[in-house]
Amino acid sequence: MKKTLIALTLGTATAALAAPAFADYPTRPIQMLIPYGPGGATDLSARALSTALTPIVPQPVVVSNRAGAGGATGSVAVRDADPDGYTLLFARVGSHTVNPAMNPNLPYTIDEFRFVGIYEINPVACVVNSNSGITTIDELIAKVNDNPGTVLFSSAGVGTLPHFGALMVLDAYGVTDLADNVIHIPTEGDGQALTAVLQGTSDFYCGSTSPAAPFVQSGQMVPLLVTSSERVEGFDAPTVDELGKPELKALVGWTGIAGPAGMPDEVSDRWGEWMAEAVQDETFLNFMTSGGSVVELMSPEDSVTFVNDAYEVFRRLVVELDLEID
Amino acid sequence: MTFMEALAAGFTLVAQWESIAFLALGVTIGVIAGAIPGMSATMAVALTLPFTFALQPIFGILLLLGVYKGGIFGGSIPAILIKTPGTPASSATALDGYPMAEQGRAGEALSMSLYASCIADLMSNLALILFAAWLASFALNFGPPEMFTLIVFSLTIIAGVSGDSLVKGIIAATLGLLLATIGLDFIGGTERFTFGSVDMRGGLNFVAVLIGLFALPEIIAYIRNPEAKEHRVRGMGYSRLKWPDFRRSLKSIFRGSAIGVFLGAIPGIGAAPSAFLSYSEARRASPNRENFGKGEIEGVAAAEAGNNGVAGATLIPLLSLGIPGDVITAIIIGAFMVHNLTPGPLLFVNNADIVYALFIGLIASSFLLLIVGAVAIRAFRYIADIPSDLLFPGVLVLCIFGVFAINNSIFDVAVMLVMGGVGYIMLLLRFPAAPFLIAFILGPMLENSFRQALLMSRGSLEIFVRGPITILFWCLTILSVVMIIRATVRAARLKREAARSATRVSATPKA
Amino acid sequence: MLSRRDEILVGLGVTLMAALILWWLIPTYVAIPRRVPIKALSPAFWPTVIGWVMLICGVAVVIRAATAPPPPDAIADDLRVSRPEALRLGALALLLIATFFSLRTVGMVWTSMVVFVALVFLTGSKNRFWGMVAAIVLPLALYFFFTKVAGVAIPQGRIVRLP
Repeated sequence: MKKTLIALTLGTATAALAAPAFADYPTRPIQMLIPYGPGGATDLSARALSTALTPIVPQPVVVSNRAGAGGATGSVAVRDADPDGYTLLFARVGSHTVNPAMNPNLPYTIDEFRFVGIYEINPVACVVNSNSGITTIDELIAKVNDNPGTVLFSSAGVGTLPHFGALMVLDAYGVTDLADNVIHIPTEGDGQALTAVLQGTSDFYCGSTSPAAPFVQSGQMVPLLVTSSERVEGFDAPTVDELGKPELKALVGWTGIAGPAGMPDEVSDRWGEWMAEAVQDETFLNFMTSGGSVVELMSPEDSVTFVNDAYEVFRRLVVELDLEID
Repeated sequence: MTFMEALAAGFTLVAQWESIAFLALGVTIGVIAGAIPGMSATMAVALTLPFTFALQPIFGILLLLGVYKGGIFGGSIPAILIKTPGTPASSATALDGYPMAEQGRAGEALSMSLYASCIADLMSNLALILFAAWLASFALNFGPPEMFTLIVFSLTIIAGVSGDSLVKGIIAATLGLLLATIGLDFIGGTERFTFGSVDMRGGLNFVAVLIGLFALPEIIAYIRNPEAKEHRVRGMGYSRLKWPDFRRSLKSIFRGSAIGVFLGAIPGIGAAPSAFLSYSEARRASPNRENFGKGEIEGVAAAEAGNNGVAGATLIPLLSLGIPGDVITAIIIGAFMVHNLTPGPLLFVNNADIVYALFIGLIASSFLLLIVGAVAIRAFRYIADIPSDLLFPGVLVLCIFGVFAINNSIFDVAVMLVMGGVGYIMLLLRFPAAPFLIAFILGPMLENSFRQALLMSRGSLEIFVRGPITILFWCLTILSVVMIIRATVRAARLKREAARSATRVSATPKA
Repeated sequence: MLSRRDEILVGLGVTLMAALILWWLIPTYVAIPRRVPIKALSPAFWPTVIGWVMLICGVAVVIRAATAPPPPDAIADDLRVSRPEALRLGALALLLIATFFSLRTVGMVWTSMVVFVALVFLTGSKNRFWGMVAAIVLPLALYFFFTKVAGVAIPQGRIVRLP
């Protein structure tokens, strides 16, 4: 007992001493926080990736949820953690582009994180109820223009991708004065937002393809557009390229891994290697593609550029259209 | 495939020993996870999901459903034994279950909870199989205005759990409603009562609040006076459920199952309102009304029936529309999708064998729950034998670990500890805890659906009477308010008369 | 039931709290967005409604306690706390506050052990031996269950780490 205790103490002491040299990273389990609750899209994606990472990372990967405030609680917890690579975050489009762009009162900024890799891209689709009679995006836009202030769209909450997505699409099609011309109905998640469309509570939804896929495949909803450059399997809808709105390609969901800003290069490099291996895992690939996501790994450098670019695009639009939350 | 072929194909799928084994494994995992505060059914299902990827579709889905069903029952074990409900839904079970445990009737309460759970579960599964299409169309008509009226009606149950002072019950409820508004505003995204704290932005965690409110005051009361006699009668947890008790609770079990089925079919409500509604209806209808909250076995039966009656019904919107009714069914959708099964109307067309296999597996799960649950009760009831001086410190440590584990948050531990103090003060000043809790659970739903409905109607209040469902709930609300007023007036008159006769007696000079 | 005096004090306390909520907390700590199309959609609407209900109920408690016949002294609950009770409650409060602050630095497992032992001594338990055993075994068992089975990273603290 005494011996193990000493060994334990020494282990920590050496880990603490060796902190600047990361050659043998990792020497203890790595905690990865999901800033959303269990069962959500981020949670499922993160757990699938961590299952694939388990045989690759030499130390256990402990995945835990830290939900609250649209991802802010978990993000802040990781930002404030030691930048030693033992506390990482599953960052998502909502927590690390839309919310920072829309909410000036957010307690963190994206510069406070260091991205080690984005592994999943979700194209955005706009869907309407198949009973609505609307089959093209132009018909939807015409409806908005003809009935100003009555058309409703649902989202997974304030500052989420579907909230911003719908506004960005409407803006691209020339709808002005968004705050007065359409009505935003926040709900508690993509599932509820789509339920609202199915019930007729809301007229349309522009969010990730994955939660919408079952409804589109069963014919209960009609997709109007997808924001990828190629058509998405199972979604019989034109791409934004075909529609002549390539600027909407910036509107995609993504999931990646990030740590606190001060994380050393060694950690980032190791993660780059591990992720490259993990995304080859067949079970993982199968799970992700079955949900309509595209597995696309970006190197740590590319990830940082990608997130910053997306943020810039969103932020410019938020300022231009006066969409800030305050 | 015709119906009979599909049924036969489904039967062959389930009739493999692996199916039953995975189902049993799932139920076992669920019961254990549910019995540990901090490990909810949701967490257990989320943790099990990755293991199902490698399994055959039917095995994986049965495993998850087993965890789900087991987890919901498992929550009643700590609720009864140590007043530490792991989910909001099982807190209704604690209202009468814990007093029973204190009276040395833990065995009875646990058995009753198991039987009520299994019966309600079976009823719910049968409803899923027989009325799925009809209940799904009901669910589709349930928008924010309907939700609002349902929650308003549900708030009238506060009167039933207020104890001897309705006004104090309402005050406790307003406190619960107020604490539920902490966090980011749902519609505008702005801060409310966050006091600049990042943790407060996310609001107060349900389970942290309810464990603080229920379990901690017991511990504080024990520490204050360890010699008090109410801490001494525990122990004999071997009392057996008596047949007459079971028989008179049957009506409440069936009523609770029906409530569970209806509320379960509506997406986004969850099990807690159903458990409380079932509890309050049972109390209203029972001749033993006075005994509710003091260890009435029918209360345990009603709460558990309402809680478990939801479990099968949440699959109705999932299977027939593809809508996840709660977080657990959202995870189960993931399991369907990974095997290229699309939940929704197409499932009945393309994979009828899977659907029928699921139905048969669900029925089997009710019976497996009976067996696994009976074993679990035998194992867990030794907790009732632990002497108070070891039990209460143990419960405190368990609560600290459990509350932390829900969201990996030390802040939640602080919330639990502070709510423990609030709960103890409420106990001293005779404010009932149950109305607080019901209001805290229903508060966000009430406010959100109200505001969503107003967004839909652009401010017109007419939307709240837009259809037969809303009008039905308004009528029910008015009816129960009238009954509450009548009961309160009658009780006040009785009390006044009793007081008058008491003063007369004392005033009468000794003859 | 509380005595008439206590009940009136409780009612006044509730009324005061409601007043604080209505005229201090809501104006200060509820941020109102720039655009609120309908008054009922303002984030302050619900808290205000709730505050008013609380205020009315607080007044109702005072009025009822003042007018209704008071409960006989024999039935009325005594809110007094005896000296040893107060000492134990105070010790518990201090212990819990200390617990909260040591979770992060000392770690949840070690803190829990100390809490357990402290409670066993605070209540003057006769089962001291088993108390000690449980104090060591329970936190360790919970630690291993939550970290190894449930995949929850229990706070380890900065002093001694468990595997």
